[in-house]
Formats: sequence, structure tokens, C-alpha cells
Amino acid sequence: MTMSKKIIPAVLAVVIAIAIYVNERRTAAPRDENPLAQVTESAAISSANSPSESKQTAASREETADNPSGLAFELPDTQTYRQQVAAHPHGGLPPVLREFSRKMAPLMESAHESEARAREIFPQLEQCALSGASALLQARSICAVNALDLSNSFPDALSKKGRDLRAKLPPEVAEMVDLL
Amino acid sequence: MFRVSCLKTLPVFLLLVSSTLARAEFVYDTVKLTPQIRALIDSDLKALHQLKFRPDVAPAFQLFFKGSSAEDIEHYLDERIHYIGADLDDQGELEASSFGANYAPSFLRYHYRSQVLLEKDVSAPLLSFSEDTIAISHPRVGFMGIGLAYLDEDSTLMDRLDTWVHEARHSDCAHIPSHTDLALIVRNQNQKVSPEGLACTHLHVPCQSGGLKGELACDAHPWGAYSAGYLFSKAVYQSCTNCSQKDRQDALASATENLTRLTSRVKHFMKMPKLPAPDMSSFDDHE
Repeated sequence: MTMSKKIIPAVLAVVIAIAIYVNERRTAAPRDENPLAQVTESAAISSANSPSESKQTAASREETADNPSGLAFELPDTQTYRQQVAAHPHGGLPPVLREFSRKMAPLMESAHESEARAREIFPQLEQCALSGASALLQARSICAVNALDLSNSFPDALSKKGRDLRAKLPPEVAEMVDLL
Repeated sequence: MFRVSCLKTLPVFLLLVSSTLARAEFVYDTVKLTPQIRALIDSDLKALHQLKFRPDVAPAFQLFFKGSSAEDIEHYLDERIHYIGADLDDQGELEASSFGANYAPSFLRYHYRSQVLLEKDVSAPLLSFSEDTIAISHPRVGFMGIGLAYLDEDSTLMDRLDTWVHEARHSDCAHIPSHTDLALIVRNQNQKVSPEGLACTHLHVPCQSGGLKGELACDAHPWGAYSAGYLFSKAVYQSCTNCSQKDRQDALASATENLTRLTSRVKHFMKMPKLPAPDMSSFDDHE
């Protein structure tokens, strides 16, 4: 009984130490070791210490005819949404919004992996949130909420950017964010 | 020794029993609903049962569902939905474009004819169910018709659960509408009905702007069906502790979609720092 009282705390201490070590290794992992890197591979952003951190080069984006914004994900447009919802007003989420959500999930999964990833992905979300009115309001709002969520999760790196974004949101997006 | 074992196993046993009893259970139309649809609904309800929320889930959610757990959502559904039938098109086939529809609003036309116009020989709407029929003599009969879109492989769990919460709200009618409102409702002029009148079965109004302008797909009164879906989906996104990122993003998409169905007045209401509690009662409760 006396031996087990000594051993158990020691085992717990070892387990906790291992957990801390593994967690530190994970957050310090270079980008290349991140299996989800290819999700935003085209949106490579320079490191936190670089003075050009906030700029994205055209070559790092996926600029295509279908995706002129160069974002890693395509923004649904209001026109397509209207057509789909008009066809099925009581049929749940329209396909264009479902598809957007499907793309957002792995992106946000990756963004929460580390501060470095969050720094890389935040500008994508910011750009999406500040897109013009031709981009679907729901999509812009989703981007804004996710960006602000990232800024809360990684305050050292992103809290100022989050505040700046919040101040720049168009009124209709800001209203949605307030309610989400 | 026996007493100690009993004390240890009893809480576990009670937890297992209560978790089984707490799960929302409905009566299915076994004729029109395929085993595939029934299995999917069962699976969805099981997933709902397993959701875990942080205790600090939004106050509006707690006001609406009278608690902060999945059990509270299940209780909310249990009170309002009892029969799961088929939402049929004109050919008698499952409606392809529909997830599901609550038939409670059909009570209003029946009530107007029988209680306001005092028509003789008018009976409550009858809906085919299994080998029998169900009469929508009261909104809380709780008949939900499921459409073919529910089986769409691209639909998400959160979208379907949002639909359950939304449709269940249509079973609520705290107060029978005024004669004036009833007359407007039966003439499909919901946009002129008072908020109190709309709150009986939580009727939708034509959207004033946006992609759904003119469609009967918006809410002009607080705590309606789209508000219900919004509160649920928002809680999943913000406060679910065992949801995947996929589920959270799907819920966020549903929450934003629901928000676009609320008029400016209702959105403004939802931003109030201290919301008045919704009336979740049935008009029978007041008799």
C-alpha cells in the first residue's frame, strides 16, 4: 500500500511530463511536417518575423478563372445561392453553402493546429470576410467568425489583427458576427 | 462488501436507464417511410443525444430549451413531435425537395372554419399514417412529414438536426390568433398578421429582400422557427465540446442561414442584453 502511494504520483508526473513534451513538439512543428499543409499550400505566407508578413504574392495563390480572388477556397456568390434556394426554399442548406462549409472545416482544423498555421490562414479569412457584396453574406460572415475565433485562440499573434478586422467589417457582416 | 458494490453500480445503472429514456422517440409511418429513412432519423437522434455542451451556452439557448444540454433539446422535441410521416407531393410520392414539414399550421384553417365561420360538418385535416389517419385537431398533435431531401447524401447531420428543431417549433401555439389574424392567415396574407398571430404555429412571412424575396421563408416575430434553428446551430458551433470541426462548421453555416431568414426587427430583438423569455406553452395550458 505504501509503495503504491509513492509510485502512482511518480507515474502521473512522468505521464504529464511526456504530454507537455509532445505538445511542445507539436506546436513547434515546421510547416512541412503538417499533413494538412496542402490545404493552403497555394497561400504560403511568410513567417511571423518577416516585414512582408501581411502580403501575399500572386504566385502563392490559386488564381484561376473560376477563382479570381486567389483564395484557397471559392466564395459562393449570391446569384447561385438565389437560384438554388428559389428552387428549394425548404430543402435545408443550399448546395453552394454546404460546399463552402465542407471546405472550411479542414481549413479551420489546420488553422487551429499551431500559431504559425493560424497566421497563414487568417489573411485568407480576412480577405473573404471583406469581399464585396456579390459574395454571399453567409459566407463572408462565416469567414469573419472563423477569423475572430482564430484571433481569440492565438491572441499573441492575432488579437490586434482580429480587432482591426472587426472594425473594418461591412455593417451587414458585423451584424451577423454580433449574433454569432 | 455487497453494499459498497451496490452503491457503485447503482449510479451507473440509473445513468444508463435515464440516457435511454431521455432519447427523443417518435412513432413512424411504417408504410410510407422506408427503412432507410427511419434508420437515418434514428441515427440522427442518437447523435443529438450524444451532443455535449458547455454549461455557459448562450442565455438565449437556455431560455428557449429551458436548459443547456442535449436532454433539454430532446425534451423540447418530445413535447412537439410525435408522428413521423411522409411529406408527399401531388403524385403521392415523397416530396423530392423537402427535408421535412410540420403540418401543425393546417390546424389554423380548420379552427377558422369551425370556430369563426361556424361551418357545420367541418373536420380537422386528416393525414394518412401507416394504415390509419391522424387528425390535426391541435398543433401539438405533432405530425412531421419527411421528404426525400432528408436522404440526400450531401445533407449534413447538423442541417438535419437544425430542421428538427425548426419544425418542432411549428407545433407551438400559445394563444389562438384573433379573428382578424385568422382571416388574413387563411387568405395567405401572413405579412399582414400581427406578431402574436404569427406565433401560433410560428408562421413564416414573405422575405422582404435578398435571395428569397417574396418566398414564404422568413420570420417577422421573435422566437420563431428560424430563431429556434439559429439558437441550436449557434450553440453547436460555440459551445459543443465533443463536436468535430466539420460539425461545428456545418452548424455555423446553418446558423448564418437561419439568421438571414430573420427580419431586421427580429435580429435587433435577439441582440437585446436581457431577452424576455419565450412563451413555449400551448393554448391548452392556459385553460
